[in-house]
Amino acid sequence: MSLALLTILLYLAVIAQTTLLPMLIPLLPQVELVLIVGVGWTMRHTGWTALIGAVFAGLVADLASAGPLGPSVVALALAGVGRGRGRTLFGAVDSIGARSLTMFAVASATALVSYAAVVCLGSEHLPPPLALREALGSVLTTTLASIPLHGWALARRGSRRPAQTYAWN
Amino acid sequence: MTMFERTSGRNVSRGAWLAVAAVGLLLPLAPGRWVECLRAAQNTLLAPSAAALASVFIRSDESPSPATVPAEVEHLRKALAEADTERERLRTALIIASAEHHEPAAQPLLVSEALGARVLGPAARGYLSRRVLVASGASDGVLPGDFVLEGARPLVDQGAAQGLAAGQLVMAAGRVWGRVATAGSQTATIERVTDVGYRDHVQLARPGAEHALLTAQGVLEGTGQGDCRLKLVKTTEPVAPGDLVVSTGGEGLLTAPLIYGEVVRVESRPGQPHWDIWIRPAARDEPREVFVLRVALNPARLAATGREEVR
Repeated sequence: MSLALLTILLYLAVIAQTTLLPMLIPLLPQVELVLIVGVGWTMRHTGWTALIGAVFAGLVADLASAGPLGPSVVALALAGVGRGRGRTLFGAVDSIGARSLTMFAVASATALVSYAAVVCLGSEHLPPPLALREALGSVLTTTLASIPLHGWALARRGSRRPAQTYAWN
Repeated sequence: MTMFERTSGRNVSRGAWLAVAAVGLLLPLAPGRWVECLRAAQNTLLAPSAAALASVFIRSDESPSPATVPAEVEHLRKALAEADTERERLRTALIIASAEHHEPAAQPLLVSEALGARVLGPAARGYLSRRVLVASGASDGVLPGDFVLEGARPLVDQGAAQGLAAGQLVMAAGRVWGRVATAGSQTATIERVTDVGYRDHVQLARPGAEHALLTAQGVLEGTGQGDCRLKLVKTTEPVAPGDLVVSTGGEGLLTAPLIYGEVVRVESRPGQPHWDIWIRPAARDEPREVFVLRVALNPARLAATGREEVR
């Protein structure tokens, strides 16, 4: 059920990323909504659901781009490596700062791995290389766009927080 | 564990995440055909939604979406696209077959001639503007219109009196360097391919083992910087860094295409129908000597025609 939800979210993210955003804000560097969904998924879930979701989101992100296959999978998996219980690479999972830094790290890693793959394997075997300048712009816009989304997700979850009870002896 | 996490089953070790990352590093080595199949499948899945969104956000007077185009028009468009593809295939096959059989071509009506010209440096320009025009002037029969000295464009020492005219291609080291912008009587200014405002109809050619394969056509534009841009090449056309860019202006005049440069960067912006292509001009240095291509009637053809008339 949860992976079906992820599929729908990724579908909407790809549509928005490849069609809607370029038409509405054509001059803005590409916002990687699929990566945002992938990071949000790994922040919210643990265990195999998080792992499978990260791989799935990474594949969808790479297939939606003109770059090589694999960089987003690598980046999301590396984010999962530092994902302990209640922790991310950069702090508590319910901290918007930690989530934003994780998002920045994932977007940067995707750009770097993609560029490295193109440089190492040559242009004959891969789609066109990504320009580093545009990749940096995409990293920044993706990170900035993720902040309100993560904030909204945290606020939404916080509003559902059950009333805590304390035992006073 | 915080309240934001949802656990599912057993916890996954860091080794599993690292293994996934390692597999991800190997994915760029996957066969391109498989990756393209996956991309095509994903695009097919997304196409209806994308078309619906496009029909909502793009005004109908700009570019009608496929969903709003009548079926007959859409059918004709597809047929036209297929015919274009077939024409390109046949054209390429004809080029290859002609080259293989070396059939003697009939005498062409027009031939191109290369006229050598020196590129004048700052000292020569200064001499022309100060000593000739000012010191000698009309007393020596030199008129200001004989020379075109304005602007910062390169100047060559041949002009309209030698057959130069605006628009003629200028070659440097066998590569297109620019074209004649203004032709005075004795000198001419050159518009380089990298200058802002330079535009030419060009075609892409993919280098092969024996012959180059001509592919998509587009418009080359100068940017005012070191590189040029290639516009109006649809994303459905195959383009890759390393492809050559050749001029189409020599069709019917030249036996081999004139090389403009090489594709160094290609990008596809989401939602855009055309590639963003950057070209590195082949003739990059400031040459001392160039050749201007002039078109003239073929004297051999005219002579042959004359002999037939005599008979």
